Amino acid sequence: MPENDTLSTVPISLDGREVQASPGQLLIAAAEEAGVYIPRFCWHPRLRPVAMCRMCLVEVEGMRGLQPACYVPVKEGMEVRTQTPLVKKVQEGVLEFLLLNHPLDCPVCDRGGECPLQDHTMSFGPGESRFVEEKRHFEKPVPINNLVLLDRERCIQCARCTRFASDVAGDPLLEFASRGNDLQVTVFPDEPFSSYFSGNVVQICPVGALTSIPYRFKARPWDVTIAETTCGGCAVGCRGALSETRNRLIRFLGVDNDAVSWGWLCDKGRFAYEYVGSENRLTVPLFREETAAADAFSEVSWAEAVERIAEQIQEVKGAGGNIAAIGGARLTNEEAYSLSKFMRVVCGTNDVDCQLDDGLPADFVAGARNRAVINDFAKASVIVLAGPDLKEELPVLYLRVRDAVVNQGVPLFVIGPPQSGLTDFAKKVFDTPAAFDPVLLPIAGDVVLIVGRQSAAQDAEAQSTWALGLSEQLGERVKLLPILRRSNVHGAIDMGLSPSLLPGRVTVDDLEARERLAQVWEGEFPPDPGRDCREILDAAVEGKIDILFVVGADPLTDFPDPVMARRALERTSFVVVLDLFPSSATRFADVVLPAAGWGEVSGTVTNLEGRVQRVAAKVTAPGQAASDAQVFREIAEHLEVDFGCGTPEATLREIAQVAPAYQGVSLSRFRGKKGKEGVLVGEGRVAPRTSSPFEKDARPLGNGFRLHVGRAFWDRGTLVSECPSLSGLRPGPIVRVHPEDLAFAGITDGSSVRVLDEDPAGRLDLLRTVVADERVPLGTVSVPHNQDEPFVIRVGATVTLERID
Amino acid sequence: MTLNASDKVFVKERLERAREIMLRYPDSRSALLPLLHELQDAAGYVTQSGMREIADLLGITPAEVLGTASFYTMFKLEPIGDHLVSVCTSLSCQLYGADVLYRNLLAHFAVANKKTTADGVFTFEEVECAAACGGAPCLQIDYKYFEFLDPEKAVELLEDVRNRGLSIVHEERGSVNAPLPPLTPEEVSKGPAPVGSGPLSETAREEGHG
Repeated sequence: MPENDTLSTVPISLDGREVQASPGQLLIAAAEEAGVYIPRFCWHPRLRPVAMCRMCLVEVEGMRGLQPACYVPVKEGMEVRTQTPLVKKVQEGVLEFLLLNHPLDCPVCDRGGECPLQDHTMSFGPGESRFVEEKRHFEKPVPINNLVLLDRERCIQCARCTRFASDVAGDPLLEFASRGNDLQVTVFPDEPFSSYFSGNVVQICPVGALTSIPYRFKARPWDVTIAETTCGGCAVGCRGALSETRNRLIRFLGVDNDAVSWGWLCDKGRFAYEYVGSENRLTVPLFREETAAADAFSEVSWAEAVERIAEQIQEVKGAGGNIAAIGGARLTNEEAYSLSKFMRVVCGTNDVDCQLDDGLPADFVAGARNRAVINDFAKASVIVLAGPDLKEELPVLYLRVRDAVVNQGVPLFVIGPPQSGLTDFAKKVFDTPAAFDPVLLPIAGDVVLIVGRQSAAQDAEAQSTWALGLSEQLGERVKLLPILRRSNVHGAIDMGLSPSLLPGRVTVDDLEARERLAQVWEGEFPPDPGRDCREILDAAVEGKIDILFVVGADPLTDFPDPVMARRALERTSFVVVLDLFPSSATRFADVVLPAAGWGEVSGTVTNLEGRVQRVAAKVTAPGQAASDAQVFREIAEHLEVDFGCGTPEATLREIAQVAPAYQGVSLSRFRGKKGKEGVLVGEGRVAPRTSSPFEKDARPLGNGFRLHVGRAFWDRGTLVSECPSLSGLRPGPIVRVHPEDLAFAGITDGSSVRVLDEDPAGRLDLLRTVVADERVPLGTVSVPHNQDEPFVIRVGATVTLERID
Repeated sequence: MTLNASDKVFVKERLERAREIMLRYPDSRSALLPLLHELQDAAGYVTQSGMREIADLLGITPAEVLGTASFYTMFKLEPIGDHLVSVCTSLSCQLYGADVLYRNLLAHFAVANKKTTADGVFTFEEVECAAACGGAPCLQIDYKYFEFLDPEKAVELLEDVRNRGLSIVHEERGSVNAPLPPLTPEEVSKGPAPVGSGPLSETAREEGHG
């Protein structure tokens, strides 16, 4: 929806009362702001109005007949009556009409108890029907995809779902068919509503016609308690309401937040709550017995686990050994801060990294100046996207970019590899950053530059250097939005889970910050940057890391070189894994600690804009699983360090005190209307480094294809795998290639190929099914990440395809 | 029809014609209706695979094609017989006994509304006003008009079509082939006959339409 830019308001008369409204604003919205609720079914504040349901008819002086309030814009001096006998009679008539074919099967309908049709019937309906004929019948319910069921008998044809599918999601796979008495919502036979946003139609359906399979028959609205929270699925930070019944999470609904998500959620965000209640959660601390066989863990008490880890730390520190930590992007800000503080104060090291060499340089992410927020998209004169496939990795960010481009007409330039979602809307697509010419940009106005890691095989430093160079070239009017993918990774970087950064977007050698920290932190840590993830694993392979904390991360899956990651874990004498689930990393752990996760821990998170938002705890963690922050604090206290940070609230107060960019962030700022949109953090004091820019011709001279490794929305990630409703949805082991390249190579669509690194030292050898895709640039082979066994990804790799006959 | 359900419709000349049709519009998706006509002409009805082909040609989804195709009752989404018999049952024809005529036809051919006879020759449908009120009651066979019918004449007409073929029969008795005699000055001055006093008033009254 276009935002109303008109600042001035005009008086209108609403039921005889004078109220102020913005000219051009729809009457239904203006009335609601003035405290008058006009009943409606088809109107939704984030969808274009269609005036189909006729429920919002009101009297407007001087206009003939009754007017749909969702379709009439406010004009100065307008006289509107919403409560007259005529309006009430019409409301009764409309409801009687809408109920003609409605089955009234409320007792067995998921929507019962929270159904707009039910509620409106009680509030505005006639109470009885004159219709005695037989209602129309359809087969019920029919699946429209793997997550959503359609019951056409309940449908009142409001077109919310079809408008969402075509206008918001850009997946017009849900349509009205036939007309008159036969009008029905339908998908094409054998062509399901395969949208990453399908769950939204369930949420906006004003009746029970669309229900979600995971929630079906799970609870009644009066059986649940609800808390507002922030989705932890990716770094966008969509707001939502989490429902719980009998200590189980059963539903997650989007909550409208003008700054970020507009009430939408992607299906992963919406349905992934299932993993929280999975049977496979880690519930007790496990210790590897020295003499036992490889995977013989024995259960220990928390006290014993803490004691033994503390002893190890003391021993290693005494001997001058090395301690390091990787991961932490899953944590809340408070937990990440605790880990950051623990590593500095207790372990005396800067060897921490929340990225697994799959993102961007942390100093670029934390230090970029003149940053963009999502609401800048629609106001920009140009959006330049040099990042991953947003639809696959940051789905609701994709919706917001798509809205700016498709509905607001902002031109989009896409740089780089296939974009399943946005390539089709781009004004121009460039193969590589080197090929992009800023001269093509219109001269006037703001440029929003979205920068992310496009491929695991891409040189991240070259990418950030290019972005900094471009913004320097274009000057002040460039607003940068560095984007990373994983959950609270931006918050983790802000909390100092980076070898070169301290909490609050400052560098480890920042004297002022160190001074301030020294007042709160007791303990010494070096003023030089530590090792990043790759360097930590490198050192571990050489046997130079004595204790490695792996916090909510699986380097064997996510680090670009799983072979090296495995060797690193094998050669580290003491590996402590804190996680929700057993993973391939826990197999190499000496200690496995059960962590509490999303929905179980309260606190704050920071999204990719730098927007701090709250997360809520709605269920208690299973078994003995505990917040990571509690674990670090207990180990610290066992070593007689006065750690503080006893509660998330206390930790946030400490963050606000010591972290420059987080100054002034406090719980009180999340209250009220303004607080609903979170708190944007301030600028830090990090100067992003630059390195060698891109080679002019990124395409090597050999015959090989450039390797692109991007993320797919559905993958083998632990959290998705632990959701029964989602685990079967991934595309599987495929490789996407442009049809012309396939024709040239004599490979047919759908056949099997081997993908081999051209460099014999590259160790990449994959068996994949070929999918022809015109959106993949010529000369590129695109392999979705984490669909099958992990594989080695070399930066700048070129590969060959070998036909298997 | 010589096409099988699985055959591609838009190939060779038909594909060329489709592309030529698409070029007539500034936005190629405007060619959706003409392409649906092409599909129905070629395949006998709007096939699922044909709708997919159109979706591919126009860069829209098959669901969007289906949404449009199913809106128009003259696009058939199911296979139909050799001839489509459309019986008008709107006001004028109904006053002249179209309901009885249609029910009689269905009974004679032992078939239901919107269904095809066992021999595959006729598919029957009831339609809204066929715009031939002056010749009520009327029906169309493959959109060719036959007017001034009654239940017996209609059966006889269809049997004739089945035996001799539509083109010959239409040539001989199609369209306005039995006009009523012009009104006498007396009748004109009397004004329109009261409802229910028409030629089929007996039947109409029995059927409760009086």
